[in-house]
Amino acid sequence: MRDLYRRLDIRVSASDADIARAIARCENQAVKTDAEDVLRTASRKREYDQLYGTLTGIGLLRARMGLSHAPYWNGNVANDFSISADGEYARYAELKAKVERAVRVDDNWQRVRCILRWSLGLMLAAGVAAAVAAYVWGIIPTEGMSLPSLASLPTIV
Amino acid sequence: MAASRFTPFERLLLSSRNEADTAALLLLAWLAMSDGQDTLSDRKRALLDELTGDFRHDHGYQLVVELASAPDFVALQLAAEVLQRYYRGPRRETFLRQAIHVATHEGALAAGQHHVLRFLADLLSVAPQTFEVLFRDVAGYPLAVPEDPSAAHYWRSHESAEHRHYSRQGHDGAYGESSRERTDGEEGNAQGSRNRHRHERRYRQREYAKDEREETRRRRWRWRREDTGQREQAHGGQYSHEDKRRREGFSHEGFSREGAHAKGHATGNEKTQRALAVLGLMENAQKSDIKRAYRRLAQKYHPDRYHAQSQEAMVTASLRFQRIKNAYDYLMRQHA
Repeated sequence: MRDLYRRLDIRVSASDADIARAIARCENQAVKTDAEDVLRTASRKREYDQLYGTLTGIGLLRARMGLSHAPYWNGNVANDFSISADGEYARYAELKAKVERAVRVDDNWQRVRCILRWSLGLMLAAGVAAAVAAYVWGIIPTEGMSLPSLASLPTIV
Repeated sequence: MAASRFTPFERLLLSSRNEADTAALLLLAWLAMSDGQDTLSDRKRALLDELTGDFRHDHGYQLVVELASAPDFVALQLAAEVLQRYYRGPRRETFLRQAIHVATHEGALAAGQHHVLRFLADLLSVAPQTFEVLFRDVAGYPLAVPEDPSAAHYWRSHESAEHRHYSRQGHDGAYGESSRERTDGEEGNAQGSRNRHRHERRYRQREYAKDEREETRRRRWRWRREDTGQREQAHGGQYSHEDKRRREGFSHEGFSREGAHAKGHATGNEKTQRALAVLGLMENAQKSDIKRAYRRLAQKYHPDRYHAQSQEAMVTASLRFQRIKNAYDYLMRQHA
């Protein structure tokens, strides 16, 4: 199958009027009659476009996977739907890299969380210690060294 | 980082129990849906269900169908890479068989399916000769050159065929669907094209059967020409390659499915020939030859021999063994 759009030098999304104009100015008689027959009838154009989409995709996949010279890619199809590789290959490697990165990020996050938890704990302990110290040294108990019960602590502090 | 987010298919692949099966499922769904129709028909869905019954991916395939219906080529590329990575050796053949079965299930191959199938064959680096044998074995007719909808004559021949078909349908009410077709335009169109495909396929099978008969006759003629002493030699040189390929490609589900596929044209003679080909024998093999060939092959390909190798090697070996055994059983029934 040929890529009539490319041969007419228009885009796939071209309007009917553009297609008609392109066909009118086309000089290759074979392409002209075929394009006239295929692209000017809505039902045929729909079917053609569907296949066109599939082939464009396959051309892309083949280019990216290095299959542009495989035995089953030949003739008009290969001529018209081959594209040059765009460097977007190795999706699997990309996925692996993503997973690795995600794992690393998660590892780091766990470490940070661990540190955070410890420091929070330490800070709490330090706070409690400071409060106790302030209580012990700042406010001298009236009778001996007996500490008041916990329930009465907030009212005193 | 926006670029590092996981796409839905990547998530699916990561959560899948078996990456290769998930990838194969996506590619098969893509193949099933590149038939020019917008939706996945119930029959196709059922077929996919049936074929992928032993896949071990552990997820539903709503997402896969979505990705395949408006093809997401990034996902397809990933799937293709996974497949290329995991499918080596005989496993490729099994996958291609499934693919051919999906593509030819509903009548003739659509043009898009032609190209997708060829892409899959290239992807798994299966040579065209091997693929053609596989195709003929599964579909029952040879792989044709894809049609070219960019040429005017394609449309002329197609639309006239469709027209003929419709007018004939109008006359005889043999097709149960015809009345519904006339009432429901859109639905009727889809039905019509399916019928057309089926019709085409039947036609091709007939043509193919004709070719096959011709081929048989030619072979027999050649056969008579050679004298007994040269037989073994000729067999080794001339046919063994093809026979081997056929043997590799013989339907492992036995003759019942074979018959269902090629309904109407597979004569007993043809089946016998294919069974003989599986055993690597020529047409006029005696019962004793068959037994000897079977023993030899059974020893060679017995699954127990592959026990130490991978599980996959074992599975393919048992399929191959099944094929040989089916052929043998069939021939024994014939000779009984």
